[in-house]
Amino acid sequence: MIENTTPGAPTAHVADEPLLSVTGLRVTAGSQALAAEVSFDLDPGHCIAFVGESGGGKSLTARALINLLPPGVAASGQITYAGRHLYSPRPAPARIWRAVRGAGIAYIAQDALVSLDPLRTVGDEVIESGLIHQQAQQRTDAIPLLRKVAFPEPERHLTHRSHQLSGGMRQRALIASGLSANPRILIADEPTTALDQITQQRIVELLQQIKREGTALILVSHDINVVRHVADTVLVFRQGSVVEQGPTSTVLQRPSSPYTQALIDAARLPGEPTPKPVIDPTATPLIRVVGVTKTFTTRSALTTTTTTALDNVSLNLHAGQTLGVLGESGSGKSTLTRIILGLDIPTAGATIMGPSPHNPAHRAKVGWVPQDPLSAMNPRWPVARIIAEGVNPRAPRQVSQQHIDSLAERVGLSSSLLMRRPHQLSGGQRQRAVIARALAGNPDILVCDEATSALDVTVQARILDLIHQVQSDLGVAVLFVSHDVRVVRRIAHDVVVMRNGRVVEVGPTRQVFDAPTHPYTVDLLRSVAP
Amino acid sequence: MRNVALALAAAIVLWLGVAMLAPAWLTSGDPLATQTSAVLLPPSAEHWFGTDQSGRDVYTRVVYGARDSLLVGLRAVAIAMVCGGLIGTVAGVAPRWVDRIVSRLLEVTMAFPEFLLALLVIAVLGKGANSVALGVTVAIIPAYVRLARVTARQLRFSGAVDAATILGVSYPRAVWRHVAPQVAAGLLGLGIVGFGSAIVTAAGLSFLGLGISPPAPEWGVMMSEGKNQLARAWWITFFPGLALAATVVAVSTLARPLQRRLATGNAHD
Repeated sequence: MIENTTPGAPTAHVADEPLLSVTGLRVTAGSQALAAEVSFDLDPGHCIAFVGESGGGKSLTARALINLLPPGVAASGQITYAGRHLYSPRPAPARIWRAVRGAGIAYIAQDALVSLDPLRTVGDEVIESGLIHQQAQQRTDAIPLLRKVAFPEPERHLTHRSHQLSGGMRQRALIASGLSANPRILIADEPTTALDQITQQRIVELLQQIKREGTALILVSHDINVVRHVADTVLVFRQGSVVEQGPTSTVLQRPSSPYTQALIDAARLPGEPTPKPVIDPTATPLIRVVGVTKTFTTRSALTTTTTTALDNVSLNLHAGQTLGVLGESGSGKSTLTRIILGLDIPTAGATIMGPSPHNPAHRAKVGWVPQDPLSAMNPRWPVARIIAEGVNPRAPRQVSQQHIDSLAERVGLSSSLLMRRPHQLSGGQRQRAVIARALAGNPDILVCDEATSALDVTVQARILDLIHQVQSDLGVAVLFVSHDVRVVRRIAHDVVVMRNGRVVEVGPTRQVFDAPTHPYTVDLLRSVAP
Repeated sequence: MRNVALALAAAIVLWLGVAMLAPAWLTSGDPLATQTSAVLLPPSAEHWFGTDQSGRDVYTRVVYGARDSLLVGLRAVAIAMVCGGLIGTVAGVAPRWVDRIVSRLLEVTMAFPEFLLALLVIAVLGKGANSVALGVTVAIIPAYVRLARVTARQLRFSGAVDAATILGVSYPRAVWRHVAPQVAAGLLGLGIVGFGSAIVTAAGLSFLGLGISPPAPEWGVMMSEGKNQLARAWWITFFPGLALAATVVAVSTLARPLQRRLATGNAHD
């Protein structure tokens, strides 16, 4: 074997040899190991999944397979693809990689929302790799590819640019571009992460179809539910090493490592929603949203366009209740949140705040847990002062250190982090910081706007537990706005399902989830069924 | 290599600072003293930068000229930062009609090259050192207003202002807390870089004879005086020009890393 390991020298391809064979792959940055001792074989029509939290080394391992690593990061090991040595143990020369990338092993980058060139048309983007490897001649050759990935109306969108497409369409275009040189292996890095559930489900079906057609797949994902439906083999990454490896069914049903178990638990649809507290229906609600409509008008020289973001929305939130607002992006839930928070004024209708349970002479107070905590904190302030602004909005500097410490402790934020600036915290820590700030003013209502959407599943589970615990300790009402069916089911007592600015279904969580009445809700739930 | 450049730039800026505040530490001569026996002498051990047509020592005049040459730029940038920052921030956070008015005015001024705008002010006010200073200030303000406006506008719609509003902080206070410091950091970065172009503009106006009048030692005036002797005595024009160029390069070199720190918001509170 050692004698004929000249990089790239085509050796005879034996029929029972795997399409891709990886042995002892290591990814290092200087002396630090970012991923160690990864070994697996991949056959045509099979799918192998890399799962784990971000920072676990799964994306770097995937990128090492096409030798596209960030500067300062290097990989070594034994990798053979269709009889060619890609690493032995150093990477093969660039000439070999140029032939392999795209036509042999295609890579679909993470974050479809930004991976398409904003200045180029969809058609040009999709066939680029095909042109390079002489599999396509002109832009219209993109049409069959787009059709293959079930991209809606490919002829019409061919000359569009990425900002004119929805998230799902961009992800499909990206997958189509990966397929354009007819690769034998497709690497998809988090292909479903930024998408809502229904779109996710469609992408999963698409990946299954690609696999059936004989393309080998490498799926990088932190989402166990996606992996479960597509992968044949699973590699669980944690902190740069593979903690578990085996057939998907074995790993997911009888995980041997506690970490894998934690990942599975975090992704599981809980059997029983949170028991509902007794709410007196005659009591004045904390928030009454009555027939709220919001339209936006955009004027240009010739036309005036009016978009209706919210159409006659009504809902009530009672003390001690967790109300989930569920909907895809564009359903109007963000606009509704802004109106409830008092940041926007409705075109028609009103939100009426009831009396505060703590002090009936005052109106109920709202605390905000934003979707993107980083942009919602002053980047120049230490976390301690950011929390203090919630305690004393007029003079944050006068708040005692003790008070801030006790708030930080309540949300599980170590006091050693309090002098850091927001960008020096992890995603979960930032979320805890904004929850501490929201709680600092003793609110009666916590408005959580996609509060866990940007987090890894294990962190997500801990933040959900925190919100749940805060609610049972302090008795606040929670308005939990999310596109994530699993999360809403896990935390909400009652659910409002929104679509295109309207409420399509309302009811207790169990009733809505067990016996949905609106066809849209049925669709939404089916997309996450285990 | 990078450190050598930084050290050299720091040395030049230090030299300029001393020249502005205590020129006598750098030279024992008098910038206005003429010496008929030593006219148009080339650079030598005695006269480092040579002498001009009146026998004045060019090195001494370059040292004494630093104050007038640089003060114009410093003043212009400082005023532009304060006024431009205020106007821009208000335009960024105020109701839209205020922004519209400011933006339209801004577009008119941006249509003129900086130098032309400064000339316009001098044409109205007449020649003189103060006219030049004001002209340069007016010429550079639009850039500061624009930067302040766009930064303020971005931050005004950021979550930090929303969060403060929800907590019950008044809007002006939220702007002061979460918008103004970021705007100031951006302006400081622009000011450091803009200083170089401001002193070049000012020197250019002096060169045309619109600013400070001879025999005062100002770099633009000196270059203007030397231009007739260029073929015989290049040093009269060359050394003030070199001082000007060195100033711009040194300040820009120091500004880069400083600006990067300001931009990331990593600077001290």
